[in-house]
Amino acid sequence: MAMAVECNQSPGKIEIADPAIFGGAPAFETALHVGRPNLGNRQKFLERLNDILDRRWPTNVGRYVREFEQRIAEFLGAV
Amino acid sequence: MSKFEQISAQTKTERDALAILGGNPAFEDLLHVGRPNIGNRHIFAERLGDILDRRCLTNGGRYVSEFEQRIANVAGVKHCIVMCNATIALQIAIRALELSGEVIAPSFTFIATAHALQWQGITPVFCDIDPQTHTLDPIRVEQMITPRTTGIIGVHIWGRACDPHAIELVARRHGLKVIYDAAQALGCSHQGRKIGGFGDCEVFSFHATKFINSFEGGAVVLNNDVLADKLRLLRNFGFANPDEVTHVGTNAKMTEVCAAMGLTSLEAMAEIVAVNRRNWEIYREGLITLPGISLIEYDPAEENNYHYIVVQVDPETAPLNRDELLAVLKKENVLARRYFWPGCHRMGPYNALYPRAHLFLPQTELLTEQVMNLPTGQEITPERIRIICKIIQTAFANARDIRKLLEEKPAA
Repeated sequence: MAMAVECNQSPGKIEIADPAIFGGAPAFETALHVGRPNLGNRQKFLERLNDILDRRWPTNVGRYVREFEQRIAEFLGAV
Repeated sequence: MSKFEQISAQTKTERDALAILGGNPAFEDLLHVGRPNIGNRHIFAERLGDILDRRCLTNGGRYVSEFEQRIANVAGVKHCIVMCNATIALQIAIRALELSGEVIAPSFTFIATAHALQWQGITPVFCDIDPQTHTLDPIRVEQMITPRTTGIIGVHIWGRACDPHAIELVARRHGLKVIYDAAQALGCSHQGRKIGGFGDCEVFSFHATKFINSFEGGAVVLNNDVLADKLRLLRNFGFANPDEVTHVGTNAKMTEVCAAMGLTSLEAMAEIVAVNRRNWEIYREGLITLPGISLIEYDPAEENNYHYIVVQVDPETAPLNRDELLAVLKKENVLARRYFWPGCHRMGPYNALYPRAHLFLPQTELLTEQVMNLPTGQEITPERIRIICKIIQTAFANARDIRKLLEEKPAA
């Protein structure tokens, strides 16, 4: 839906009065931020979350913190 | 109840069934003092889905705002500023109040109370406690004041208020600021008034093992608008707006996922209190007749969260002392804990900096040798509690054998 709005409006931004700063409609309905989070595989994340809740160990250096540290170290070339 | 625990329930009245004397452990799995209460998992999953859909994971989103509002209601205060954990929240509260020099605090508390001061170059002056309430003794507080004292941090240990009226009188007489470490005291009251609005501000904890949990989390609560604005700035790098920084702040923001857990946990509050209270009553029934044993009482006229089962073992009258009982329970897979042994002042850094602190702390030193916490929470069923009580009863009845064994072969 948002895509349709952008397609309809963007080609129109050729006249001096068209830019929103001169009174035209904004190009995007929603605010476009410099960066929004990349989420990865949601299913996989929810599986891990369920495991955390099942084991009732959400902090204090649990399984996933240790695995994450190890994976980052491996990514950076640790042996 | 599992078959395994059924056998324990039947046999743990017998001497030879005690694990320390050669029997099987009473429990197959380890019983911890506290495991997180997670509330309705389905509702939490829905909130999580919404957070991911909207891709707004932190920086003061919908769930953080809602959690702040709900905690403010529970605590009966105007402002709640949630943060990533209670230690940082306490540090920021200390910074916002511009404390310096010396601050009076108990030693009978979790180490973070002292760290939050020392971390910023402020001297924690450890003050003794009242042996009845386990909280700061206001008379001692006044005796510890020097020209360098700028504040007092009272701790509502076990959720029982650190006499806010007496502390306020002392603070007013000497022009001191007052913070309450209310990490254990969400949902509790003092003389009918909810904990949260006393002193200049109070700090709650939502760590996984607390009454209400947000995985990790904390909050500063208060009624002062100006101080609340400052706390919000310090929490977020001092940003007054996207292009202007007015304070040397830090990053203490809570994530949306944590707030979603906090909200879900908070919705189960009444249920959690009911379970905690039931557990406390069953422990009380099982232990109260034993010599030298007392259980921390909660005033029925107040609101309580009953989150801690605190047993005090008097070594003069109990057949086994606290540490001997811990050894007995450990063999049964019951991981009772010494809270707050040996006291902050005896922990490495503070012992090195203030080696004579113990001279001012006779009651603290006595109490740290006598107190232990027993497992509670939703996973600890009435049947399990009755088994734990039976173990303690049987251990007392066979105290001489156990003591002899521990003297020959001290507990690992």
